[in-house]
Amino acid sequence: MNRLCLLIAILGFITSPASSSDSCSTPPAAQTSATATHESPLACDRLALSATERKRHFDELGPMLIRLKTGVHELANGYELEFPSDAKTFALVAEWVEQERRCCPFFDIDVRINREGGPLSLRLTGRKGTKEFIEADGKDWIRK
Amino acid sequence: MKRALVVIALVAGLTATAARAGVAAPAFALRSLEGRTVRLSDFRGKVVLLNFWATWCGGCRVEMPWLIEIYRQYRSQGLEIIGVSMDDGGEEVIAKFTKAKNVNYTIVKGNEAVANAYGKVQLLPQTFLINRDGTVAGHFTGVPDRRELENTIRRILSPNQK
Repeated sequence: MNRLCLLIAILGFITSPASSSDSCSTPPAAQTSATATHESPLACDRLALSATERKRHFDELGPMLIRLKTGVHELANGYELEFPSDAKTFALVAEWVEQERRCCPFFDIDVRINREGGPLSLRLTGRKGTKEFIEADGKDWIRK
Repeated sequence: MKRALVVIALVAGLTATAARAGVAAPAFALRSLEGRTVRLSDFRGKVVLLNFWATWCGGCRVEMPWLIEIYRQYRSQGLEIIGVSMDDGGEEVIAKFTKAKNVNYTIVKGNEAVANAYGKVQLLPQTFLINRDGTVAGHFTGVPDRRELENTIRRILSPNQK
């Protein structure tokens, strides 16, 4: 009986409508490779960040990085933002990226530091709809 | 122990079927920004678009102007839109946001119980379309294709819907 109940419980959770999104809070190993095997909807994971992290991400880091931004390049499937490559800015970008990848797993995020003290580039791209998502939601980020 | 497992199994089963097309949409009573209690049953006889969202959610901000237009266009045909805010903050933050966006539909403050009843609602935005008889007609996770959303609404609003 115990086993049967446990099996039913497990099956219930597996067939839950939310089950497909559960994988988004903790990206599976496959998503850390170059090619994601799971395609997330264009959506934010409300359980990925704590309330404190969310406040930090949206109310502090975001506005700080928008102020620090030195350039914007439009790409076919997204945008590339440029920042100074000093240690403090790099740390802010890294912190933002780590949270963003959890909250919005549909983004491809590239961070590049150009040689000889060149700028830091943050590239946000993705599948169809990602660029439009950035344009609609991230006007301050992509304003030149 | 056995009882606990049975309860877990039942709860899992309920959440698994709660928000599927064809089943009754889970009932709720939530407080609106104006302070009134909004119940799903208040809208029986109307098509309800139940939209889970948050002020910090980028996708929600993308689709919000669409919902405003959709409500303006289809309200007279019996569409009601209820935005369920899953924000951490208080109602004043939500009210300030919706006022700035000129939101013309009902906004209520959501909670985990309602989110769980609709299948956890981990990803935002999520939209449930509810038939006039209170059954779930459709479900969109993430920013929907606007045309597809509108086509679905038109189909549900149609008196000859299949």
